[in-house]
Amino acid sequence: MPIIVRLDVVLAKRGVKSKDLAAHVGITEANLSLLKSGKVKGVRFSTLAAICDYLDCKPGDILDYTDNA
Amino acid sequence: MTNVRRSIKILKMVVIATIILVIVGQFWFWLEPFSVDLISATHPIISEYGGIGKLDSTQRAWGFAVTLIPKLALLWSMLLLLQLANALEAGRWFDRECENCCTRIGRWLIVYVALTVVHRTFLVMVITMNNPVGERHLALSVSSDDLMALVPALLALIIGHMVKLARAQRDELNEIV
Repeated sequence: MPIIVRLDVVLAKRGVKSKDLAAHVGITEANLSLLKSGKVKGVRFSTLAAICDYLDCKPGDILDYTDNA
Repeated sequence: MTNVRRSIKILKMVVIATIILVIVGQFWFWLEPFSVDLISATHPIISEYGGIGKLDSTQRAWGFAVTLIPKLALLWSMLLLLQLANALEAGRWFDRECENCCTRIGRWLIVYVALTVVHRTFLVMVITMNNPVGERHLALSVSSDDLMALVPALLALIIGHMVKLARAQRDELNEIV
């Protein structure tokens, strides 16, 4: 998967717990865990906006792209 | 949602009533045919050959067996429809159980149509089995009713496929957070 999720890095930098972020965003901890590990098929804009709002970051801080080729 | 639940309940009652009618009608017609005559319920093929009064007990036993076979396929379809209605009532609209029910209902209705066509041939043979040699009949007929009965069968197969696609879409949507 060329999209890399760096949410765990941002969480660690901000000192925020997954449980608190999940509660604020409105998704389950299980789904947040899947998102952190990059095992989801997609992310809604509303979810991304809520995460960036809580962590005071940009989408580019959380998501990265690598060209495997 | 209340209207949908009410519709499913009505569907279940209609299916149960159909099952009871088919079973009672089958036994009543062949075991007490003369009381059936009183309410003017006749079998078109048997009437064509002089009515059920002309059949002896062996012919009636064979007639019962021959006409029962397609009805068993229809009854099985009805039971699957009942299972589908129960799943829908429980809110399991896009589960694999629904897809399988729809597909199996479609297949068994096609079997029912095929057996209905074939059973007429055997019924005519049973009715004329005691006739002198040379006067026994063999008939094969397909009516517009048989073709019309294919419509709900094919609809059920199509709905089964739609449920499968809907389930795939729901599962994909669940993987988007």
